[in-house]
Amino acid sequence: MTAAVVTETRAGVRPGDPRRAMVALAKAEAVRLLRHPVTIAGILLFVGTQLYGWLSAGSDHYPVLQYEDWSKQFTALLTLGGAALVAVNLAALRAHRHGTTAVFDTLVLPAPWRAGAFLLSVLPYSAVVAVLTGGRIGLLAAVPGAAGRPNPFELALYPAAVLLLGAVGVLLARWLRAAIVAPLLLMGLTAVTFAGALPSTPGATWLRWLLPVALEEPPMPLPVDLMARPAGRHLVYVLGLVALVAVAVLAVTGARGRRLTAAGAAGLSVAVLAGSAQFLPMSDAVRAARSTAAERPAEVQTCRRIDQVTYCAFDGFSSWIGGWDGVVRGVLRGAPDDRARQPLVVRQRMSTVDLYADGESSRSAEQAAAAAAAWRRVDARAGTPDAVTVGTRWGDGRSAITFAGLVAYQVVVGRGGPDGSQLCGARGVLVAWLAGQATPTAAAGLHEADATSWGALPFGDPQFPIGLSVPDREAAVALALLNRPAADVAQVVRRSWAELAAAKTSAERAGELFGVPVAPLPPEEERTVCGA
Amino acid sequence: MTVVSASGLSMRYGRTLALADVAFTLADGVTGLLGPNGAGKTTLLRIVATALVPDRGELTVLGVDPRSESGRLAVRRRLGYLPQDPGFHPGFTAFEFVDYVAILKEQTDRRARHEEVRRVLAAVGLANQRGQKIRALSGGMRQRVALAAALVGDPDLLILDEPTVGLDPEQRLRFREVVAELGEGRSVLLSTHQTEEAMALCQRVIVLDRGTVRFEGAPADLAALARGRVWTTESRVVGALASWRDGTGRYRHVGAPPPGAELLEPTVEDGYLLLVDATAHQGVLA
Repeated sequence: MTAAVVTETRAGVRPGDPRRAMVALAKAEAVRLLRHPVTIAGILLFVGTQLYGWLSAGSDHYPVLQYEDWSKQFTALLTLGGAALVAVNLAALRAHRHGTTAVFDTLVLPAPWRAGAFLLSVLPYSAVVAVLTGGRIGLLAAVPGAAGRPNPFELALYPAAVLLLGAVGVLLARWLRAAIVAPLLLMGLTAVTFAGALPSTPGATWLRWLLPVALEEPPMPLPVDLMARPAGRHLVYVLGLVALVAVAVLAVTGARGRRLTAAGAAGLSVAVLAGSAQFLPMSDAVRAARSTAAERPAEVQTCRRIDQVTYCAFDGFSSWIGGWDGVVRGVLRGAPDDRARQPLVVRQRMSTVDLYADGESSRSAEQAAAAAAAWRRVDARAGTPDAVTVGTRWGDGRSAITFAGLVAYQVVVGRGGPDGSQLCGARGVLVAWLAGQATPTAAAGLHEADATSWGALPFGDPQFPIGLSVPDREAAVALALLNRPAADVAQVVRRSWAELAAAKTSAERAGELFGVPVAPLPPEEERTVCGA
Repeated sequence: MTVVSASGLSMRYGRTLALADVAFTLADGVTGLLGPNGAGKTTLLRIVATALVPDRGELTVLGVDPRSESGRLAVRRRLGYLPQDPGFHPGFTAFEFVDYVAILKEQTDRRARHEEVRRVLAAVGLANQRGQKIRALSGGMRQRVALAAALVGDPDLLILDEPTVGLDPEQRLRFREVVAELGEGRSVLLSTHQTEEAMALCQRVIVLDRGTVRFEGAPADLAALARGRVWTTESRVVGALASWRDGTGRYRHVGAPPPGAELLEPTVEDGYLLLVDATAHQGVLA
């Protein structure tokens, strides 16, 4: 060891200005943040959940982009934002945790500039988050079954929320010198976000939009023009909070001055104004458009005919027609040729009324019947009576079996729009089998419905008044038939179609025709009313 | 050239008076700050290093009054400080840690800064360990990393607070070699418990005891304070300020010698012992 080098190069390096030093420190901290195990874990968790959704062959193959753009904001808040909060907090506490403050307190760069560097260090990570989340939407948009278009404000909220949590991480480190505080805050934020999502929470609407991301689950995805999330205002609100927290960090570390005061006032004004503006009522135009789309969808839909089947979809959803047609062809494949050649209309429907959010678990039978009758009248006026309903979710087993069941009902019974009643007897067996054998996804959906229902298999979106259910007794026969070669069953179906499709044919008779034992009827008091 | 000038410095922690009317000057070269535990050495060093502001007194460091914000920054730009317990970020490599300190010293040009970091790591003999995580380095190496961090920017004033505590003799000697080189052409203020270190390294020493300066001058002058007050005998005697058996098997005594005693040439340690209150530091002398 020699000290010769010390005296050789006494020229040294002259100090620069604090602004440049802050940027240099921010770069160093940004690299450390990106390499931090917590950050990497957060990114892997977020990417992992997306990959799982993709690989599990669910609705990710038919994404609604104006739904997908915000639906993962909470996941991103927990994983990517949580990582920013914890990792930046740990970085800002590093000198305290490792006892280097004795040295660092005597170094040149003043504390506010150091705090500024920690704030800036979140920017590259936010850019990574923007690339990750934007890339995710880009990939989803490239899927052939993608519907709609994303909202750039919703996409921008991902990096903005990460910025906010990162800034809060710095602020916490200045206020409370304990590494446990940031994870506790993240847990608290998660709990409050969930509470905001619960309709039963007092002031839930207000609460959820005052949080970094609003966990709001609409009854179903809506067409782009009907979206009423205050995405732009919420983004500005969050950016206002970012400015406010950044100013607080600088002030806590000793920064003073008019510009800081002005920045704080601006951040506060933006946060208050944009935060308040989030609660402005929906515009009349959107309200009217929603009403039209929900009540008279034919007025705003585009229809496309494939052979004898007409598909009417909302703007942006026509890419799903191929998927719908696959299910329709699958159902018709099991029906006799004369039935399969009958014209059929499929109409997409949507609902903006969340029955669960309104505190009701379901409509009453009378309400459902009245609403279904109204839908039928509207369809008749539009020149498409007995149209089969399909919703704005597609790609998973549930949506496939729901649609397949309604198509099968139309083919078997000869009319559309069942009002939620139970379809008993041979018709029930036939509808359940036709629906289940339509596509592998529909079969999976049928088994899923069987596993999660009690008493009867539901075919319908609970948010719609249209739907039907098949009692377990009849469904059991259909499920048994699905284990047999479809061609063999189809042969029996075609041969005995008239009898099987007749309203009075019993489940026992269907069992006889197919050679499948049928469970005895339950006691009188446990039987449900059949009526579909 | 006077690098540090202090007069009337006082500092109090609650009821404890850490420094009382301290006055001294510091010039180029290595100055040792000697004193027992609790003498106020670290407080004084932290005041000179601008980490603390004294309650009272005048202080000029490198020609600047560090009490103002601008003065403090001006001092810090020309200062290197190695505290008693510097602390490390164990997940950093030696290079990363020193580079981090260099950034906090406002060295913004990346290439020049990295060159500087390599230079100071080489200066403390860690050129080959710069890529190692600090958690993997020995105590002596860590201390050298801290010294390298203090050397960034080629400071005009280097403050080292007990830098060799916890080091083995070899590491201590290596460290001493580096500090000796550093003292050429700059001012080094070195706090230590070890009088032999002060003797080996320092052109001047300041003895601080109970918050007051008891001595300021050359090490030889400190030793000279004990001239005629160090003697040797075959057996232990009662009444000496301090007595111990040395390597020859004879007893060495410091204090008032009896008539006809066999006097010895005093050392810095002897002078130091005479200065500070021996009864308060019997543990050290035992």
